[in-house]
Amino acid sequence: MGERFLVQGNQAVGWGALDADCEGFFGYPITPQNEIIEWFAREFPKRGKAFLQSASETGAINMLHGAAATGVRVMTSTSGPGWSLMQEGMANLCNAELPCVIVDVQRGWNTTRHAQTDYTSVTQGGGFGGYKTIVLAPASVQEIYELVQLAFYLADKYLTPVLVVSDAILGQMMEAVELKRLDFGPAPEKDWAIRGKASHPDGNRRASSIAKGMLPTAQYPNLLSFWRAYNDKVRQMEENEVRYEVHHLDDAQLVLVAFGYVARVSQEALRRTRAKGLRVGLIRPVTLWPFPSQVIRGKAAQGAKFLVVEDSLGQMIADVRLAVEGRAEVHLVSSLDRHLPVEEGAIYPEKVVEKIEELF
Amino acid sequence: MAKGEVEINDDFCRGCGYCEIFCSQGCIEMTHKLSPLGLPIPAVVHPEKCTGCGICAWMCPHLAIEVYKYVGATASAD
Amino acid sequence: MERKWFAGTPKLWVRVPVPIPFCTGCNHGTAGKLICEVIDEMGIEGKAILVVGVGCYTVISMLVNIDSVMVAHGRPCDAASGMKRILGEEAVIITLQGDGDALAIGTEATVHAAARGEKITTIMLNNGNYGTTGGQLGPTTIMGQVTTTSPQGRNESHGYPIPAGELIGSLKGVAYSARGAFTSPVNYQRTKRYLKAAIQKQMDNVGYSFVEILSACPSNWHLSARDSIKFIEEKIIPEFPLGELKNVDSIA
Repeated sequence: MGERFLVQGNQAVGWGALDADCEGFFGYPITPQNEIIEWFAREFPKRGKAFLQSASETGAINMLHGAAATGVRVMTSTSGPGWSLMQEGMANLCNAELPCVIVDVQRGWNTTRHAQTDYTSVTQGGGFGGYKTIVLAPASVQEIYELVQLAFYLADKYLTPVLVVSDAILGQMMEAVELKRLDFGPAPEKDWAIRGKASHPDGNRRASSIAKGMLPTAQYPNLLSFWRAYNDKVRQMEENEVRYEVHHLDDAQLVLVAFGYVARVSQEALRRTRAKGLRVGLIRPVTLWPFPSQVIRGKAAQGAKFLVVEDSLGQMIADVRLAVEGRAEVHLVSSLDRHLPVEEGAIYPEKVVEKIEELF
Repeated sequence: MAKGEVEINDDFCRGCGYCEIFCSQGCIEMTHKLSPLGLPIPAVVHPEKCTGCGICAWMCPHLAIEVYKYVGATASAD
Repeated sequence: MERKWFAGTPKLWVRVPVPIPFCTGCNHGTAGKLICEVIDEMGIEGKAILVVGVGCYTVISMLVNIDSVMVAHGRPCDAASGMKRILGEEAVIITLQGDGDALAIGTEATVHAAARGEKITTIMLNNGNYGTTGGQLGPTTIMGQVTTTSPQGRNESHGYPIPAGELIGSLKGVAYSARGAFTSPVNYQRTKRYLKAAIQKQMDNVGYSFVEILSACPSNWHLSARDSIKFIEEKIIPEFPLGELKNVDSIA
């Protein structure tokens, strides 16, 4: 067993990035993830890695763009309002097909505490152009540490930004983490990396552009040639990168669907209701995109009901409704069911248990 | 006796007239001839005055001018 | 008589069989040539990287035979900072931007890169308007200048133009700031020297360097090419004087 120590969720992002050989962090402070930028400010310069605080999140995402173009692994992190400022940058990174990792530690709209209100924005993409990025949703500090490493691997594999989405509760909590560097095999060659003409074996220049397809190049002589290739990439990500976890799914008549901190709450509700003999199950998406529609569709076909538990007014529920294809009832426990009507309020197991019992 | 030679690419020229304004010897003049783009093009009307200074090429924004300097004279006259 | 090529299309210019897409008399083409000549003469073809924003000059990134990156409008200085922090002295990073790109939407990026003393070089092509989009008011449009969003001529309601070279030069992290123009062969050569000096500051690791180049825009100024040169000489240079505005060997 590897070394285990008590780590804060936000700081686990840094340890994961380190074990993924991340070379640069470019970011801006925002609650509730300041521990992340501060971790990188302490740990990166002394290891000879790049750390730079920008003057806004728009600055950070564009610094990330330039750094990603050099072919090294780089990342940023932010929360909802900062994520919004990065939308043009996301669309550009996806068009330029540059790998990088972005962490969003969600906060509740314009509060500074937890919520899951960025779901639609991170999965649908808030910028222009209709791009798609893989979105990973950890539910523990260990998982934050591991999914950050996975994110770098997937970013390189598909030449795309990859998101890791947590929230203020996961970010602030402290849990025991076993440090283990995940091995995904050798990193791919990056012939496209912009490092100066002398760095390329064939001596020819390389160009990176946010207007791929618009100005003709040898690789993409016209617009549709790029759009077609991009579409193929999205299909591949959809087919190959779905990740989720299930609990007591086989005999479940009611299936909870939850991610992040709410999945931990739902697991406790599951334990309590199972103890009472209720056939409840849980699907925890680990990728919010691509969404685990297939497993949900399967249970819908078996006649199960669904209870989506999320700390928003209902965003993931739309993907669950799409997945069941009209065959199943889909219910919701939302932010309106928080235990207190304030920022600090959260979704607690009692409320989920109450709703489960209502539905049986 | 010309010390240099100016070649103007009519296809690239956009008739801005900088070569005429900035030529240090007054070799170039705009004409009423139109280029394939439909713009008035210059001509080297006094090639004998050309010193090959290169100024017309520096000032041309459209890469329509190449300037050559003559390298000495050939030994025999033909 | 044997002849030797002396001036014209630079060695690093990517030759294409069609006329390059600049309006009659636009100084962007001149700037593009200048960049090719300077990079060649300084021997940095293998390590130079051109980072462009969005404007008529964006196409120059495809016409200079070195590595290039095209990024979002206003953001070359951010992207260049990110690249330089990774590549260090392995690369010479030059941003090519317009006046709006560098000093309107890009103000944060440009001012902060300058303040941080990033070892990058910015070329700001200043033609006093947003050219690509049809000639709207920009941060360097001079008073009285007519644009499509100041049809009455720039007045107090639009505010006052920003002196880019002086503003950037006032920051401690800036090792070099200069303003050039292409209004005469002498100015062409001076501007070339400014660009070489600016790039040398980067290569000597001194600090941020900035070259503003007053650029004729006959189309959007609705003037002939020769009248555009006169407009720069008579109206713009008095507002934005030419010359080296800051030149220090150490920013400490």
